[in-house]
Amino acid sequence: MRRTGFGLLVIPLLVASGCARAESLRGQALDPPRPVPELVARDHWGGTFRFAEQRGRVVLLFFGYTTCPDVCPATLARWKKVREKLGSAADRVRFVFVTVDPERDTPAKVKEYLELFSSQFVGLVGREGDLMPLYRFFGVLYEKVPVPGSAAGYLVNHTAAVPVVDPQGRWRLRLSQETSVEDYVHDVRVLLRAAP
Amino acid sequence: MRNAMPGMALGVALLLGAAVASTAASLKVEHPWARPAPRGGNSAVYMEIHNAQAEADRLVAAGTDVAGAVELHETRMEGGMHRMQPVAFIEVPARGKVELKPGGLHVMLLRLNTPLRVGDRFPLILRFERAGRLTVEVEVREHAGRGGGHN
Repeated sequence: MRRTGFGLLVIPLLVASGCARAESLRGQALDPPRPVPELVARDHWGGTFRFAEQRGRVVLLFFGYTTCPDVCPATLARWKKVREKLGSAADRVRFVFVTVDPERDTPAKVKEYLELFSSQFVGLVGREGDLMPLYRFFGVLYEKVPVPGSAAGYLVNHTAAVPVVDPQGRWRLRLSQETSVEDYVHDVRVLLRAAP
Repeated sequence: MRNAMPGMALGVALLLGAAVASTAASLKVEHPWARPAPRGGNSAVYMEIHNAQAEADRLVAAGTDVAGAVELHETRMEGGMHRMQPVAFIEVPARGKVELKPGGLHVMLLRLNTPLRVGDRFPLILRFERAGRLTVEVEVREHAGRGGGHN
C-alpha cells in the first residue's frame, strides 16, 4: 500500500471484507478461539459458578490474591470503571476474580476485598485442587514466594493477563494490565454485539 | 525491612511533623495516595519524590499507625507474570525524582488496623538516609489523580 495506485485498488477490497467480517478487537485475540470446557468452581457467596451457564455473557477473568496490594487492586479498580462505562450492557458481563492463594483467601476475605470495588464482582474460591482445572485451561502460572524478614509471610507471583470468554462460551481474547478502560469497553461491546 | 513504627514514636513524630518536614525541605513529596483495602489486608502507597539536592538520597523506611508493618516493595513483570519483592531502599536521584506507581515501586502497608476506604486520609512517615524524616498525608483513592495511570 505504499503506492497510491495500488492503494486505490486495495481500499474497496478492505472495506468489503471489513463488512463481511466481525469488528476487530483491540486485545490479543486467540486464533482459533478455544471453547471453554465444563469448568465449575465455588463462588464467594457459597454458590456454584458454572461456565456452561454463562452463555450469552462475556466473562472477564483475573487471577490474583486478596493480600496483593499493587496490581490486583489496579485491575479491580479498572474493572469498576469498565462496569460503569458499559451501563446497562454490564448486566451481560461477568467480572470474575479467581484466587491464586486459596490457602489464605477464604470466601469471607474475598467478599470483603471485592466489595471495596463492586458487590457485583464474582470471586472464585475453594481448594487449590478444585481451582486447578481453571488455572490449567487459562494457562495461569503462579508461585508462592516466601519472603524472609517480610511481614507478608509469602507473596504470590502470578500471571497478569485477563482472559476473556465470549458469549458463545469460547476463550476469545487476552487483555493485559496495559489495556485501557476504553479498549476494555470496546472489545466487550464487540463481543456482545456478535452474540447470537 | 521491618519498619513498623510503634504508636508512641509515631505520635511524637507527628507532633514534630512541621519541624521535621522543614528539615527535609530539599525533598518534596507529591500526590501521595493509597489503594483501598479491608482491615487485616494490605495496601500500597504511591507518590512522587522530588530531590532538589546535588546528592542522591534514599528512602530507607516508612511507618504509619494504620498498618501492622510497612515495607518497601517493587513489582516487576517478567515473562507475563507479576513478581513482587521487598527492596532495601528506594533511590531518589540528585536533582531528579523517583516515581512510586502501580506495577512498580511502592510502600507496602501490611495487616491494616483499619479499613482504608476511598476518601480516607492518614499520615505516613518517610525516613530518608540524608534528609531524615518527612511526614506526608496520604489520600485513599481508586486511581492516581491528575491524569495518572491510563484513564
